[in-house]
Amino acid sequence: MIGRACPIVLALLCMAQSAPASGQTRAGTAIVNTASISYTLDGTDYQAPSNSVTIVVAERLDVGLAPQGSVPVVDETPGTVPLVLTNLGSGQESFTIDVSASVTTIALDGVAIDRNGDGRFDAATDTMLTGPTPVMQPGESLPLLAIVAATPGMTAAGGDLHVTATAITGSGPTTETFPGAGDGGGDAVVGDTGATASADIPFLGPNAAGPTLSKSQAVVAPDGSAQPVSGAVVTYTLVARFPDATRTARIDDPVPAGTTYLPGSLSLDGAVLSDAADGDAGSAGPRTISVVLGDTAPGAMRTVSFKVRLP
Amino acid sequence: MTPLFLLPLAAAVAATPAPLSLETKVLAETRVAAADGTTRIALVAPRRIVPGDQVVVQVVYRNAGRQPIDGLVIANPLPQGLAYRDAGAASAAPELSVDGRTFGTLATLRVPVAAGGTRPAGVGDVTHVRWRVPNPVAAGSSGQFAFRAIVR
Repeated sequence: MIGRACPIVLALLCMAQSAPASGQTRAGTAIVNTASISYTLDGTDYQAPSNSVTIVVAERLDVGLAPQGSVPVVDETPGTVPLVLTNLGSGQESFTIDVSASVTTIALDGVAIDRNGDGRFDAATDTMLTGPTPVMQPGESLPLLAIVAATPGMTAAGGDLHVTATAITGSGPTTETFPGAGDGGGDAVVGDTGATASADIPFLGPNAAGPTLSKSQAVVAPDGSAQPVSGAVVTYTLVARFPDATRTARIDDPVPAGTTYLPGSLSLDGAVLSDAADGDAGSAGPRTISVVLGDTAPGAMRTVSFKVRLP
Repeated sequence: MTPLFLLPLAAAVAATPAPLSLETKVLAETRVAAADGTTRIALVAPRRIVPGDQVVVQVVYRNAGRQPIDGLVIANPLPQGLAYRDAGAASAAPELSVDGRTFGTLATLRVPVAAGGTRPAGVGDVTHVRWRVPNPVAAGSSGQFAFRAIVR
């Protein structure tokens, strides 16, 4: 928590995942195997093919949804909350987008495709979604805008926006299979993301002037990819902004359950802090990290980062 | 099928007499838990495959005729979408090729590089496998070979 009277604004970004490795066989591709035989019988050479076996590459259903930018301030003029939707699956897929909020004092005015990616809604160029997204190619990303406005009664503390993207072919536990529902008539199978992704985006209400804290993450897997697989290292970056002078500010963040804090990875504004609760501003243990920022000047921005390893 | 690599072996190609059959299967390796707590690998028809999955390509030959058959060669071009990995369990290792013409062990194979020259071949470069059966296949007998591959 930062200072006093500060909303806890930890943007829980969903896992940053990369597109599938290029060169992967596309979902729906038929792999046909035919062997051949040749031999000699009574001095004559013969050859013949075997039968052919066809297997169709199943469509893996995976999706990522990542909020963009810092904590939005919502007021009574409709504004936008930008997100990026990524088809992390191996086939062509569209997704349904649902938006809800933790408070009733916000008007949810729909979701638009941010055609020019500028983070703002422009009716001339951007397209409101009236159903699922257009079909997205494997690895394709689509910038989205949740359009929201404050209604009377919203407090400066704001609330949380909850955005969910779900593959229209199906979602559920990993490896759940939808026979024949994949590209090319092959099966569709739910990947590691469950074929659904959600983002909780904290927002501040009108006239909020308190400090904000946004959190983002980057994943580096043992194979160098950005897949959040076992053994991957996640770097969390917390950016605190202080529009006004603030006293005795401090950032605490729990180490996500099941992950292991990497000793010596805590830093403040790029300078490493020791894990021990000693003379420097930071301390880190298996359960939580803590950085004392103290008094901050108006307009100050401080960046804390630490790393964990996925089980 | 690529006829090219069969040419030296089949100068006078004739239609197949029915007695010799060749059947191929593409199977998936599945771990099966036994009652005693151990697991074993079973080969089953693949329920679904996605890139990265391992499959086993099996070829089964049978001489249903009345005479022994000589010079049996079974060839399997790697289909698009499969990358060779290694010989199947309990199968003789196949001879490998990266061009469909020259066969040998992987260590003997080289592939051209864009900058000119060649480099040692890796398993991912394999385009064809084949098995040469050294002895005549007696009437009524059969055999099988297999290789493992990864779905690209």
